[in-house]
Amino acid sequence: MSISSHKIHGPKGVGALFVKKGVKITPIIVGGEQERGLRAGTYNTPSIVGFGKACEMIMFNYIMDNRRTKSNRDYFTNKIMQEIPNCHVNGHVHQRLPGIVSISFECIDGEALMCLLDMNGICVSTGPACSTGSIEPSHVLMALGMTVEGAKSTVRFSFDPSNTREEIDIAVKKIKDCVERLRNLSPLRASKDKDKE
Amino acid sequence: MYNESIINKFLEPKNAGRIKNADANGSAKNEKCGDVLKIFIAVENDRIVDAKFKAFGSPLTICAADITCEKMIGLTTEEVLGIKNSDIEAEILVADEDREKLRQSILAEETIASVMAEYNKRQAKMNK
Repeated sequence: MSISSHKIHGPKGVGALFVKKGVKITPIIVGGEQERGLRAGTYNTPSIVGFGKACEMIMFNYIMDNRRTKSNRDYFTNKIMQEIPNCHVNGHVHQRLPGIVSISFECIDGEALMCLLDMNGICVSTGPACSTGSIEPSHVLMALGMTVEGAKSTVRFSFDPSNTREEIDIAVKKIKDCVERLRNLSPLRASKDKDKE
Repeated sequence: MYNESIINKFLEPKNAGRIKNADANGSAKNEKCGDVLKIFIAVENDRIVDAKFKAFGSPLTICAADITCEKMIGLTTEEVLGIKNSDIEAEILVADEDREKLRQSILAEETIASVMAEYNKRQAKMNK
């Protein structure tokens, strides 16, 4: 199991690997005996210390923090579903991580929405960093049975315990405005409306 | 993420929208990435006097669509068929890592072919 430090507010570029007893792995960086010969190279000490501190802090109150994050995420999701027509939550309704939600907004491109939201001070993501620059939609969303358009219309929102309800209210209002603006520009909206007529 | 000129065109595209009672419209889709471009034209004396677009795609797609319409306005119905995707690409500066994405986002040739085929069809019908 691999764990990324930045997922829990630690520094980027550092992580941990849990290897079950008896499992043998081959190093991909060789030339030194650091980390029991599994990863050669000088330790990035400040990042490792930062990751350690992040672990320490998250363990201190993670049950309450997770509860608060999940509550904020659910409040946000319900508000989006109530206020913005033609959007869908992806994944299982209950069996999910507390801090993220993936939503598809029909007829608009997720990256276009991400850029508009960025201009409005809201940072979201359209996919993992490893697919940046790729033109093809997320293989994970396609594996869930979505169409190319559906997968392209998807944005991932992340939350943490420090988010407030006021912040979420502001975010929902801005998301609604941006979605409407992009839908007015979309040729797919006209054809969907025609289908409904 | 993108440079200022791309962002400006994405935020304030001059030619976004549709033309009421357009002389023709046509669209094209990139099956691989799902981008769609639809263009509406108004023609007077065999010359394109207005072109507007609707697009589903990234900021690059919208930027490229706006430039495509800009290039179409003022050309004759024959000259417009000479616009190539590479002409649009040449006007948009992107980092090397986004070059392929930009190429996939330009639907100029296919959309112009579609809209002009529709225009010629309508003209042929009217001349009957």
